[in-house]
Amino acid sequence: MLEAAAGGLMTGALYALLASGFALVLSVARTFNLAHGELIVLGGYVGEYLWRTAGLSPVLAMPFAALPCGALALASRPVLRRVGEPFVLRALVLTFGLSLILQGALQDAFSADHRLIAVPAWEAGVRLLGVRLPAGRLIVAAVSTGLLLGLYLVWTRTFLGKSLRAVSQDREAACLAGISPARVDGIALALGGVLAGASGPLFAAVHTVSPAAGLGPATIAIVLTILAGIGHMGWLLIGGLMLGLAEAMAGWFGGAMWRDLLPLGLLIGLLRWRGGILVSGQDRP
Amino acid sequence: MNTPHPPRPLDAGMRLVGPGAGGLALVAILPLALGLQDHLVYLATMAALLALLAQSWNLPAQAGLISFGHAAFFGVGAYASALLSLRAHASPWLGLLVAAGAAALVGWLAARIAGDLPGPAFSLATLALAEGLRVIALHWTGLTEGAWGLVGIPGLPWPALTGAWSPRGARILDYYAAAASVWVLCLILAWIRRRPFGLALEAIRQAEGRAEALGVNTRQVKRAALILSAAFAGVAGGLHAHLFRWVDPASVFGVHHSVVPLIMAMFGGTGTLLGPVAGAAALYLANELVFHRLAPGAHLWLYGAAIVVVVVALPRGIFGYLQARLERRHEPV
Amino acid sequence: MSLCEAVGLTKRFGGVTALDGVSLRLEPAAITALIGPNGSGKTTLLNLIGGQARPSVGTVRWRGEDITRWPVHRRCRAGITRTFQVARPFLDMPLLENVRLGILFGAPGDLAAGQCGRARSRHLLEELGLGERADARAGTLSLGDLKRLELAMALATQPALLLVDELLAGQSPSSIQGLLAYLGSLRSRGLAIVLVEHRLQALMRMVDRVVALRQGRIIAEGSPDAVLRDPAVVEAYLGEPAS
Repeated sequence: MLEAAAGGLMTGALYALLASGFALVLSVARTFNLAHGELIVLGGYVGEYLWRTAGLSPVLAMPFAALPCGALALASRPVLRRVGEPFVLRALVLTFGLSLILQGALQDAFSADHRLIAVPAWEAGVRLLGVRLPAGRLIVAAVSTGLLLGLYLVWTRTFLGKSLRAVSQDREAACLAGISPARVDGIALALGGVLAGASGPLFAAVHTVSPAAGLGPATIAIVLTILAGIGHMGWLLIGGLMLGLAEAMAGWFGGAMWRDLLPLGLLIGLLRWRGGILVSGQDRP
Repeated sequence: MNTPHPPRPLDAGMRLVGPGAGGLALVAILPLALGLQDHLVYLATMAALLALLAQSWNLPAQAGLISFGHAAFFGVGAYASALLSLRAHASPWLGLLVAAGAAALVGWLAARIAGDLPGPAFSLATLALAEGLRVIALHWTGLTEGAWGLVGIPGLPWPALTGAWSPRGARILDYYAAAASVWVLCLILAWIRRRPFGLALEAIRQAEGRAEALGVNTRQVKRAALILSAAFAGVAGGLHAHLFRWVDPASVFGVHHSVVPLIMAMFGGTGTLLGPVAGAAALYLANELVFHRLAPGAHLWLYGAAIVVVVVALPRGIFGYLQARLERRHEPV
Repeated sequence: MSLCEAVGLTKRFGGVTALDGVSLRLEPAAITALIGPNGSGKTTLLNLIGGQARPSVGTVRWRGEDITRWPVHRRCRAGITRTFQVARPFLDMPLLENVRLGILFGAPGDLAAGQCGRARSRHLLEELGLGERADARAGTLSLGDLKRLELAMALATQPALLLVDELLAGQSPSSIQGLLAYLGSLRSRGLAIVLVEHRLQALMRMVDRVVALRQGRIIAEGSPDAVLRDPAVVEAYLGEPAS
């Protein structure tokens, strides 16, 4: 059971990474990108392709996967700008529809079968604190955590991060301070896409990808974002670890069905508890 | 002194009997108009099925409840009817009835867990509900055969038709079953629009708190809308099961059957009576006749373009836009 | 037994105490003005009586019954109706339908079978000077007219207690005279009315009783003359003790 728990924690770090792009875009651009999961899947397919044809490790494939996803996200900007009030709901409907297109495109481009990046070296066991873990999980967790740390540093220490935070907290005030919210929106969207794409190969290494597989990561992203609170990037990792652990335990004690139902049940519960956060962007009902 | 309210064009200001009979006549003649050609009747049947689903989606949408999870009701209906005919050897007609009931139950559940949530939260909760049911259907193999799905579901039992007409006759009658369901739902929706219930739905959509302060039991109204909507979506699911003869979690509980009615209804016009039907027919036929020839997945570009157009330019859909323009001309100064 | 009684109402949220131990009695055929600086808790009190919020402590009684847990629509049907500070009619609907909603749902028992409420809606709109525009979309109205529509909608529900939040904002002086006279006629029909207003001078002649709030507490209560001369009230409004 300890193995399962440790495995869950490892996966949790990846979950936080999966959620990071989504949380960023929601906090800054107030855009609920329901197509985020499909971007992750696209990144996964790119990673799988590179692995299959060039033997490129998922970790090394990350930048290559990040590019098209970032570009796609940025391409959605002109459309999003034309969305009127109520923005949140309309953007939600729009990205819901777009996720369908992306799914279809993935199906046409890559066919509907399930794919997995199975790196043989990653199967090797590593003993850590008396628990045997697949090396791959450790690598994924380490890379995820590293990337999250980098994101956190950017968010808190750089000027870019400050601009992002400013727009996230108060668009008008940011405007008065000389920051262009529209430009920052674009940066956030692109960054969100890049994060989604980059996490794709890692995701494809631990979970099979198929055109319809986007909903899973999307659910996790939404759950963690609501859990962490809008604009609170730091809490994503903690939330991710908790979720990963809870999922592993649910799977260990209840089986695959309960493991898959957990994030969905959590989402409904969180929506009931803190659902207003989506509309107001703050913790006010 | 009291001037009568001017009749609103394109709306149910007219008496129901006339248009109702007219609609029924249209439904009845269509196969003949299509020359009874197999392929065309098939298209009409599928269009009717999608129209039924889209129209059912429309009802809660009129109260501002934008469901992202109608596949939940559709799938429950499909599985309920399929299981009843396969395991209990019951008539598919009974299956359809049970499908409506089972789906209505899930509709009640959706109202219970998500009915009080604000707009976007409600949408996401319904998405989670549909996905949850898919996961359950996938893993509860004892009941549903899991990913393999249920096969060999009997078709709708029509009285034995003799001669060479038999299979074709059955397909024509299948069309009538689907089209008649759409017609019934449209009648019900037209009737609702003229009742206080319809006014309440619209009021809730525009300003829920205000409606409640005027005495509307908003929780009850929303719940009723969801239950009725779910029941008809369930019928659509049951029909799907008996027309396609197989169901599996990915197809009936998949996001596809949640997104598509949304797009079709919004494209046609959620605030209008026949908008969803027209939207469904238009998009489906555009796909089958044009886009599908280009590439198997091309329909998604069509649907995607439709949703972008609706959200960005035509929030009220095509019919809604037309209706608004006609109303502006008639508006008293 | 009073028509409506608030007992020890306290409302806390987010570290703020909006209302602190407010008790109040309301009787039929009387106009009560609720005054106080911004943030004194006036709208909160209306919310607690109207049902838009629940008190942290205290009860609300209606004809002797404890209605603290009652949902908004149930209170409306029982006879408590309010208007809103920011007028919230249904902008996409004609005025007629706006008012008809209140008739259909707020006072359903009063419609005879076969009636749809349109005639009564029109009548109400005419009483408030909006009769000619009954078929116009509510979104086309000016602010002052929106407030009148709000009042018509509230009256459609046949209230016994009417809570009016900032009716006079945006109205011309002659319009104010008309509205106040109309409220007076409602009073003589037996309605209990609570007015929340900033423009005190216009009100004072119409009003039977004034309740002054400050920082969530009642600081004075009584006839208009007495309250307006109360030093505590003067200080609250002018910021310095009366000489």
